[in-house]
Amino acid sequence: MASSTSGSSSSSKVVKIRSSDNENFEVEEAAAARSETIKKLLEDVGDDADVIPLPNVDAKTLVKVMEWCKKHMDDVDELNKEEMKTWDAEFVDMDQSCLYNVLLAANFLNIKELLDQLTQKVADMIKGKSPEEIRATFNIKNDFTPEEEAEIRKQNAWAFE
Amino acid sequence: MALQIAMPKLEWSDLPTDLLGLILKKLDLFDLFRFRWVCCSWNLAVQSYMASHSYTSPPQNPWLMRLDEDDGKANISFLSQEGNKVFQVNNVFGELAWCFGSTKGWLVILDRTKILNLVNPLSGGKIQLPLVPKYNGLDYYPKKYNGRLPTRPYITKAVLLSDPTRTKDFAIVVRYRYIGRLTFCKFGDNKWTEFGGKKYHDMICHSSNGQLVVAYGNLVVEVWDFQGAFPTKVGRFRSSSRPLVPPQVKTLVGTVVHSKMAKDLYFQFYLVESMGEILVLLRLAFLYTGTEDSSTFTFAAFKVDYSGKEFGMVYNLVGRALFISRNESVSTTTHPQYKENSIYFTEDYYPNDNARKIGVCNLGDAITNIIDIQPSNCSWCTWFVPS
Repeated sequence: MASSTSGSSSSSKVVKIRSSDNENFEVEEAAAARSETIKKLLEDVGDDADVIPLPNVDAKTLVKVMEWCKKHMDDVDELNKEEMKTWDAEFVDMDQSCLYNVLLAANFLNIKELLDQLTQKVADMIKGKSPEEIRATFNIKNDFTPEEEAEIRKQNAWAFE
Repeated sequence: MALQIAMPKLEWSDLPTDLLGLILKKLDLFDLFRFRWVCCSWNLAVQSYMASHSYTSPPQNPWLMRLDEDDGKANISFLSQEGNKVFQVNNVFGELAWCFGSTKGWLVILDRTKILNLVNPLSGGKIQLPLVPKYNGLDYYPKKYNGRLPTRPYITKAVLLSDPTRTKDFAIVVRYRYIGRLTFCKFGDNKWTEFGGKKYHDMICHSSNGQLVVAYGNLVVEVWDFQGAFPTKVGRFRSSSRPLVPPQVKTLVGTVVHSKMAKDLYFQFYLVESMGEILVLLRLAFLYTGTEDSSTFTFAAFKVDYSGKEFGMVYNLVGRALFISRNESVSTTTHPQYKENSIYFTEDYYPNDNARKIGVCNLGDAITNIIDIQPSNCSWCTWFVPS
């Protein structure tokens, strides 16, 4: 009776990926395939694949992204949905430079769900803030000329309150 | 030792456009416009995002728009209901003479030089319109009388049938003259053309097809199409409720009439699109003796059935809150801040002493309460849907 459910997860295949700073990682294929980009590369090279190079993602960022992929490898049943939500919320709670790198990596690796969670996090960090506060949060330089700045403030005083 | 590939130091201001687009989609209009002023590249990103064909305005609870008068100068303030954000808009209009209302996020402004403009207070966009013809020497904007505004304005409503931000090919309809006639002009026209010939209660643009829905009489709803050079009537519906005022509302009228010095009953119809349906709201108010002051005591709702020729009363609008005003009316899905099956209204049909009040009417029991009163320098307040 039990044999019908036990077979599927045991034979998990492992793939090798390489970061931009030449670190190699071994990741379960099901996790790596959360990335549409890696999935497509795997389909193209088939079983001959040695290492898949990811020239746009450094090791530190790749570790973070793969942590998410592993957690999201299997379908989540109703019972674990709440737990997953909490995990996701903690996952995206990172400093802005790390968030920036993971966001770019999720975009390059084409992981839609992660991208959605990260852009939501950025949007939440912007909501209700004035332009100065947003600049401070993301370490952005104000590159409007003093004349432009004065004109914008005059016309849109409300936005700066 | 692993070879290090030098990565260019990237910053948030360099974020690729497609990623910025995903973030912008998750912001409301308030935040979108603040985002714009962070840096040059984000400003450009917001501009191209909002001009793109796939852009739709984020779902937005209406703001309260307030026309304030200070030392003879008029200012417009907007109050967002979330987080009670307030901002004032000056300068954009030149010297403001009167704001006749708003449509699709654009204000209809008559300045001191008698030029009629559409102005988008958020984007700063401005479009000049031909001046609506005057009748019998009537003035365009309400004159003060004993320090207050006694009359209704010359233009009582404006409706854009498409958004000028998206297309140059737009048409605008205004209801004007004290008898409520309709007149329209299209982009590039140098004059207005009157049509319909009835005394209209209200009009709205049906969002799905850009057709004009109008209400008149006791009670007829018509649909007008503006594809051709001249508007054509494409639908007509009659109310099946006779009498229009339901019995339980009549009982209520009786009790209130005895308790207050009401001069007269006052009816006003409003059209609103809600979840794809067209609703007609009937407002019942008192006019007080010797004044133009009105005081709303209840609403009744009717639903137009597009498949039939007639339409009837509804008592339950589950999951929806309606915002009703002369200027603009809008339906929202239930929001923690707003009760369902409720009508939030401003006492704004005439500029009057009660025009600063905001009330809510529950459709279930027809009971109305005043929930907010604006400061005394406020001439009138109304709902505004930013875009």
